Amino acid sequence: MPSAQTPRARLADERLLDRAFTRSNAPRWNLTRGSFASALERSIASRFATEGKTPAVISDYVNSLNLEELALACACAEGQVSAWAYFIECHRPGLRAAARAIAGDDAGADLADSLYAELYGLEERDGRRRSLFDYFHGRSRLSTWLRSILAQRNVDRARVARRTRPLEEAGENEEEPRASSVQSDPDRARFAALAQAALSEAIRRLQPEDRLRLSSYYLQRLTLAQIGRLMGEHEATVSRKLDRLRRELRAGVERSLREDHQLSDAQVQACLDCAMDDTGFDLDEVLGNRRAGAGGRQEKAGGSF
Amino acid sequence: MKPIDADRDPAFDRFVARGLERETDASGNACPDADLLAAWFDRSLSPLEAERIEAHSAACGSCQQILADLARSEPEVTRAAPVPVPARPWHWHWRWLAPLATAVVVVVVGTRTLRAPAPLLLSAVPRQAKSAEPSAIVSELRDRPGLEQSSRSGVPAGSAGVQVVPGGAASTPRKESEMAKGMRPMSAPATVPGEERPTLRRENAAESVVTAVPRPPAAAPSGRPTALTRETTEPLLVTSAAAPPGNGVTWRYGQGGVIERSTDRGQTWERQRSGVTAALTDGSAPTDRICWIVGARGVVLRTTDGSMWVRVASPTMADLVSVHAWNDTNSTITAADHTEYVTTDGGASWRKR
Repeated sequence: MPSAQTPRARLADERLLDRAFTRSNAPRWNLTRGSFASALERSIASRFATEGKTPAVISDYVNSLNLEELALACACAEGQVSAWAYFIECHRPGLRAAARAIAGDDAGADLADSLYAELYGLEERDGRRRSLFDYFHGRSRLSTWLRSILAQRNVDRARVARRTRPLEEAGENEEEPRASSVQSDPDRARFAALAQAALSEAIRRLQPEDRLRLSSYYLQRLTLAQIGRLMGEHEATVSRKLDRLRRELRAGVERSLREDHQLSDAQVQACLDCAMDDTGFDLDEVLGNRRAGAGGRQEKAGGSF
Repeated sequence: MKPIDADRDPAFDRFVARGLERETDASGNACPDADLLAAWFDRSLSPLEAERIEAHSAACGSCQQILADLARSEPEVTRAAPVPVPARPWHWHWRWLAPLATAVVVVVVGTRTLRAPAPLLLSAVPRQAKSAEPSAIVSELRDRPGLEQSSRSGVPAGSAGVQVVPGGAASTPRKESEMAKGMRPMSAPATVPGEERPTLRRENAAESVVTAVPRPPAAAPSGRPTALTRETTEPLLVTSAAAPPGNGVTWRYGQGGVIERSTDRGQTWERQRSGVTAALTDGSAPTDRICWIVGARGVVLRTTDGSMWVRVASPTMADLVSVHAWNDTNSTITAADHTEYVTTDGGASWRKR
């Protein structure tokens, strides 16, 4: 997270700072105007690090921030007791619940507790404690930011765990290479490869938003309601869009096979049958280039929308 | 050749899942930081920034998982299900109106003739108070919120003009507690005519009262408390997810543009001026001061201080069935025809999605 080290942008507009300071209710936490200004300047620098900015743009940006929560985070970073008491009272239950939702009941408590040390900041640099709160810029709700940090830590933990997994154990969980019928049926291998390539192409052509929606359903196994929360849609809309995407993908694969590879309807159907056959072959396994799945999930998608 | 059908094909689902997995990079390289992902989730980014995050996350396994975890760990915001447009039986069966009205009159008159003057509001009095002088009871009742509401609406307390909602007295306490838990209020069971009415709890007396007198059209916009209609006793509910512990702010809303707010987890409710009379169908409250509510005929309302509601310029006149707000500026609304509109500037402009 490089943003805390970003050089500060000077907040030249004193009136803007005054308004923001008043709106933030910062004096409630005994936060000085200077400290608040520093936090605000860090936020501005983080947002406009690579873009030009005009006073009007900065004013709009500052007005869009969650200033009260920025002040709270700033006060916590400074170690203000009253701010910490408020933070613990208001956010501890949510933090624990979120950690449990992310990492499960057992690991969740540990994940949540491990965050407090970082939030307080045990490391010092230039005589100042470095608190994780310094990286909160007020662009989101504080609770969302905390959950995002938790999720990031959880992904990091999973990655480290995968890296340090003993080889024997890793080997145990790997699926045995299927005694595929590929070797005995070259056409089958070719058909499956064509279908997979057509699907990959169809996926790459999707709009990022649609691809994220599909991945949330098929890879992350989110419910329709959760995808709705993620995408800002009603779950009925999510269901409708997933259904449309699924149809489009299938149509795209069939069209590609038919037009790009000049296959007949029967051959297209054979391609799909080979690719979708559970006991059939997986091109990645054959080529040995299966990537680590998102979050190590290898479960097969199912369910309904 | 099989036709492309809409039926779910588990094998095709697995095929798609494997395809997506192959196309996903799980290396975690050059990922946006937690601050940006959180801001994307809260819809606080500029459109350009949001597009960048989406483009990256669409192919990044690590970011997908972080976003998925954000969605999984989002506190349950009690969002009322979109209200299906109620069937309007009177339009279809208007020929039954006259006989039905006659029957109602007969039943009401018969009931009142056969029974002692119904102590409708007396049922709200603790049992030991029933032996008290009626004047004392009326005096006591007059001090109650429910009676005060009735009086203000021009319906004399305890008079024949005041009727108890069928079953409302019994159902209200449960309804209130369910609201506090974020559940949609249960429908009130019907009361059999002549059945003993249960004793009312004091704090719920207000909601057990319904007037037979149509509410004056000007009453709602003026913000004055009025007697609740049957519909408003079962308003939908939205709970602020961001309310700090011990500060359970809850909004509820329903027919006739009624909006009420509770700051004590549904124990007491304060009517708020919505300025509209349309049926309100869905709401979303990202904090205890910010709430968006949508309704029929394109109504979009927003409060940023928890009390004053402002009608936001709407992109459509269609009935709105859903709203999801992230803060006071970012919100997505859905019309009955599933068209979605997104605003990132508090409703000053909307983008069709």
